[in-house]
Amino acid sequence: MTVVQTGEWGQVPTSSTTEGDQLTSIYVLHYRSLVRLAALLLDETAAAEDVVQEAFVKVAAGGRLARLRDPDAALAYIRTTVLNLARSSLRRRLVAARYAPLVHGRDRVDDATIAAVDRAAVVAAMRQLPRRQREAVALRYYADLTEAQTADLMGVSTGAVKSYTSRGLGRLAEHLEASR
Amino acid sequence: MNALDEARVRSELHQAVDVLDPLPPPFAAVIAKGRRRRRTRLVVGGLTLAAAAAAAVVAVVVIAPGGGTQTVRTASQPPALRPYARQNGGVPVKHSKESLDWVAGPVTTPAGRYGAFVTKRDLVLVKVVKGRWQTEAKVALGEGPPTLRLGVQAGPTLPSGIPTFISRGEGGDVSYYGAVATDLGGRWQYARFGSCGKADCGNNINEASYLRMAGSRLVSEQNDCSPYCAAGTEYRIRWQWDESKQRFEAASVTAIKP
Repeated sequence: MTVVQTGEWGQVPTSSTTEGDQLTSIYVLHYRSLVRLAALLLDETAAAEDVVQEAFVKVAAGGRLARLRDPDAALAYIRTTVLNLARSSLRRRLVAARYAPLVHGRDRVDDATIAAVDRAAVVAAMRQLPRRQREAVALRYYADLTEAQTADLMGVSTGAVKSYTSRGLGRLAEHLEASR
Repeated sequence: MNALDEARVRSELHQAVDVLDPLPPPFAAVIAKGRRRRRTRLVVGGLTLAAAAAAAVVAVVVIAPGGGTQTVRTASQPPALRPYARQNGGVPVKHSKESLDWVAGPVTTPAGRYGAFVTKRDLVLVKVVKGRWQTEAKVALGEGPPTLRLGVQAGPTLPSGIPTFISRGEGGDVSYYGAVATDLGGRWQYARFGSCGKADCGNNINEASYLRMAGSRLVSEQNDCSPYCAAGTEYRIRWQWDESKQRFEAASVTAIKP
C-alpha cells in the first residue's frame, strides 16, 4: 500500500488502494486520534469510542468512500462523520441512550483513564463552550486543521471559523481562570 | 491564559486527551457488530412505531355521545408551544451566531407551566391555562440598536415560583439582554437589578449587559471601563433574586479579565 504523510495526524492511504483496504488502514492508523478528537467534541469521554466505531460502521455500510470525488479525502470524510455523530450524540444523547457499546469491555478504555480525562481542567472548560466554538477549537488546535479545512468540515465560512475560534479561546481562558 | 495563547491551548488539549490510548478492536468485529445492531434497531424501531400507532388510536379518538369523534389530551402531554408561537407572530431565529432560540419553555414551576417566544418587536409571555397556551403579556424588547435576530432563553425561577425569561438580540456585533419576570401585581416587566459592585452596570443592565444562564445561575459580565473600556477590568457577576427588595442583587463579583 502507498502512503503519504499528513502532519501530526500521521499516514493516510492513497487512492491506489481498494476501498476496503483504505478504510481498514485509516481505522488502524487513526482510530486513537479520532477517539481523542471525539472526546473533546463530546460531553462524555466514555462515548467517544462508540462514536468513532459508529462512524466507521456507517462509512463501511454505505460504501461511501468509493463515491468520493477525491479518494484521498477519505480521512476528512470519516472525520466529518465523527463530527456529525458527535453532534447527534450531544443533541439526543444517542450513543448513551440507544446504542449498546460496540465492543467488549476488555477492549474499552478503562474507567480510571476516562475519569482522568474528565478531570482535566481544559476538558471541563471545553465542555462549557457552545457547540460550534468547541468544535472550532478542537479541530483547529487538537486536530491541527487549517481554518479552511475546519470551515469545510463544519459547513461554515472561514470567517465564522475565525470568530468561533476567537470567542472559544476567550471563553476557554475565562473558564480555566475561574477553575483555578 | 489569554485568548492568544494558541500554543498553550494546543499543548493542554493534547496533554489532556492523549492519555486515551484505546486498543482498536478488530475492524471486522466492529463492522459485524454494527450490522447486527442495525438489524436489531430496525426491528425495535418497527415494534416501537406499531406500539405508538396503537397508543395514538387509543388516546386520540373516543366515541362522543353524538356518535362522532373528539380529540382528547392526556394530562402528561404538554401542548406544543412552537405552533402556538407561529400562529401568534413568533419569528424563528435564522443564522444565529450563538444558537439563539426564538422559543423558550415549557418551564414548569409550582405556579404553572410557562413559555415565551419573540416576535419582531416583543417578547411574548405565555402560560398553559386549561390545557392550552394563552398569552399572558407582551413586553417590548426595549431600546437599543435595531437587531437582526431576536431570541429568548429561560432564566432562573423566582422563589415565588414565577419563571424568568432572558430576551436577547443580535445585530452585527451588538447584543443586548434582559431578564423578565412577573412582579407582585402580576404584571410582566423587566426585572430590576441592584448595584454591580466594582463593575460599571451602565444605566440599564437589561439592555446593555451580557446576562445569561451559567448552569442554574444567572450571570453577567461587566467592564468597569477604568481608565477607559479597552483597558478596563471585566467582572463576572452572579445574580440572586432578593425577595425583600424585589430585584436581583449581586451575589458575587469576580474579576475575570485584567
